[in-house]
Amino acid sequence: MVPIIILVGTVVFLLVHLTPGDPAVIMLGPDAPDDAVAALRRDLGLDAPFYTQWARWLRRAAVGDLGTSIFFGIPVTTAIRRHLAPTLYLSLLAVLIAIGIGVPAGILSAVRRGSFLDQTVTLVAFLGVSVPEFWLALNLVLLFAVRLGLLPVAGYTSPLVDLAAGLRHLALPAFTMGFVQSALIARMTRTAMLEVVAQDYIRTARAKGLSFRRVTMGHAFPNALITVITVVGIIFSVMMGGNVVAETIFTIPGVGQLLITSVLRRDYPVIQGIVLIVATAYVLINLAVDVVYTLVDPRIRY
Amino acid sequence: MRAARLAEVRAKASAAAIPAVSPWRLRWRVIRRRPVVIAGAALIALLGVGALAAPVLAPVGPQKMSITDRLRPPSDAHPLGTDDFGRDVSSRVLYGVRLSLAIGAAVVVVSSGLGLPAGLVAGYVPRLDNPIMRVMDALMAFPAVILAIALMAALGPSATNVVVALGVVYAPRMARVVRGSVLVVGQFEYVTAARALGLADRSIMVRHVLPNCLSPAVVQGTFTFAYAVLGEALLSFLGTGVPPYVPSLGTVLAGGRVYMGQAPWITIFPGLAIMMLVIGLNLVGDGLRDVLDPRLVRAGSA
Repeated sequence: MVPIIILVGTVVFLLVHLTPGDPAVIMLGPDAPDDAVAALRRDLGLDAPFYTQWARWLRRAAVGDLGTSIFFGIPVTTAIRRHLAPTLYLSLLAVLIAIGIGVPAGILSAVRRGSFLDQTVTLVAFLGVSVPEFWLALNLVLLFAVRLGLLPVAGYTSPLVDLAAGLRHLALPAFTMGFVQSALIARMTRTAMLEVVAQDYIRTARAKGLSFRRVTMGHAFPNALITVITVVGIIFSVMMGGNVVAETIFTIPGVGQLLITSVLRRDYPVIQGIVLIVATAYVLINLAVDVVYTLVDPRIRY
Repeated sequence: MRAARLAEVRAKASAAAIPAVSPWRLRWRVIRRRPVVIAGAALIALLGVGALAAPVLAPVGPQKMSITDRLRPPSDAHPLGTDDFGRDVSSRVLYGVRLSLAIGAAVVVVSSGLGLPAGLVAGYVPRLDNPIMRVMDALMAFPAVILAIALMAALGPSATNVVVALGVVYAPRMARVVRGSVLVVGQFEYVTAARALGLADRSIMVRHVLPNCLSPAVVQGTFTFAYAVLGEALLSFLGTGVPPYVPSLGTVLAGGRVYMGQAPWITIFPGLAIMMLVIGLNLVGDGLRDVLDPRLVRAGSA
């Protein structure tokens, strides 16, 4: 856990420092005056030995000091905090949509294996895994916003300020992300359910006269839950990539959009900060998933 | 399902009193029963030929501008229409597919070049297992898209750097798959026998262990190819992949985004091309996974 986070921090540190050329020149651009480059080198501590820079970066990151944004001139953590809320709302909504579509689709397709419904779910899930997310987003904008005019093309309103407007703005991006993720969830749920329904105790439950629904929801699904939880953990990872896409296309002022604009502005401290926080969050989410395992399945102990 | 199919094949074989079925014939029989896999391979072959023949097939050069032919819908002269610079979309899509395939193949080479040796050594040399795999875990703690964007930010936009970035992102996944099968294969008697004969570890690894671990690596490589095609398109779409003037499926999509309402053909066709590539690769990957399943091979030679 801690060693992984230290390694993650090291990778983020290396990101900027192993790039060919002087990081200060890269950040300021090739035309920057020499004294500005020298000043930035001093500010960033680039004149210190490599391992000193590494130790200092880790020590500061550990106490939440991720440096100062070159573009905004404010601490990186502040810049990220300002962009956090839209990303959280969007991710939450997308995960709800993904689970809401994926889990029932997976269960239904497993218990009605081979049926028309199963084939449809399998096909749609396959397309969902293969469709480029950003292209799907663009087509949904074209259909629902441009042609039908039902939803706004882009933009963001905080759901805390105006719930209806906020949800209208989040609907398309959240659905795009949620739909793509639901494909993965449906596939995994289906596989896990198929394994469980082949077990003896399911036959026993049916034999003692329990209804189909009770067997499915009471006996089969809880045993397939482990897989579903694993997928939701994985989804967070994919979701962070999806946020970048959705926030860029729908101009939502979230962390993903901040990442892309920072790349275009060569604002390396912000890039490093976002990447570090996302990776750390991912490690923590996986830890949480491991903890939830023990709650769901008492046989699992660590 | 797979087991049932296998049992059926074997039953037929024994009924016909065929003494032994070669593993390759058995594999071909499995493949033949899955027309979608053949369709996937055909799709990739078709796109591959189209990409190779792009200079011949393309109506005009992909960069040829014609201001008088701006935003023209599909016609005989321009089968997929023209973009905002009057460039022929069909030519740009063909060259985009060409670039996607080239980058995808190169990413498979880079990620295998890094991941195969790492996984082989980690799985075979217990002393090095922990250090190697912890580094891989650290790299995998980053969501793929985020790490790719961060690496592109450090390296700068170019096709070569897209290959490097995606190669680094997918190498740990390859290493993990290879390590897993090395751990199994390393326990086989013939490896112990080779060791007892006094063979050097290096030649045991390369000549005896590696060849028996290639099947899962090939399957992983196919999926990496699909991820790389999607990844390149995404990075280029976001402006962090290949430079905007290079005709890539991602840059064409990004350029057509503004004109979606009036000229949807600029975005629809490159998106369809990406989807066809990814669907083809995923189908082939699924098929290869079924065919190269070690259980199947063992059963065939038994």
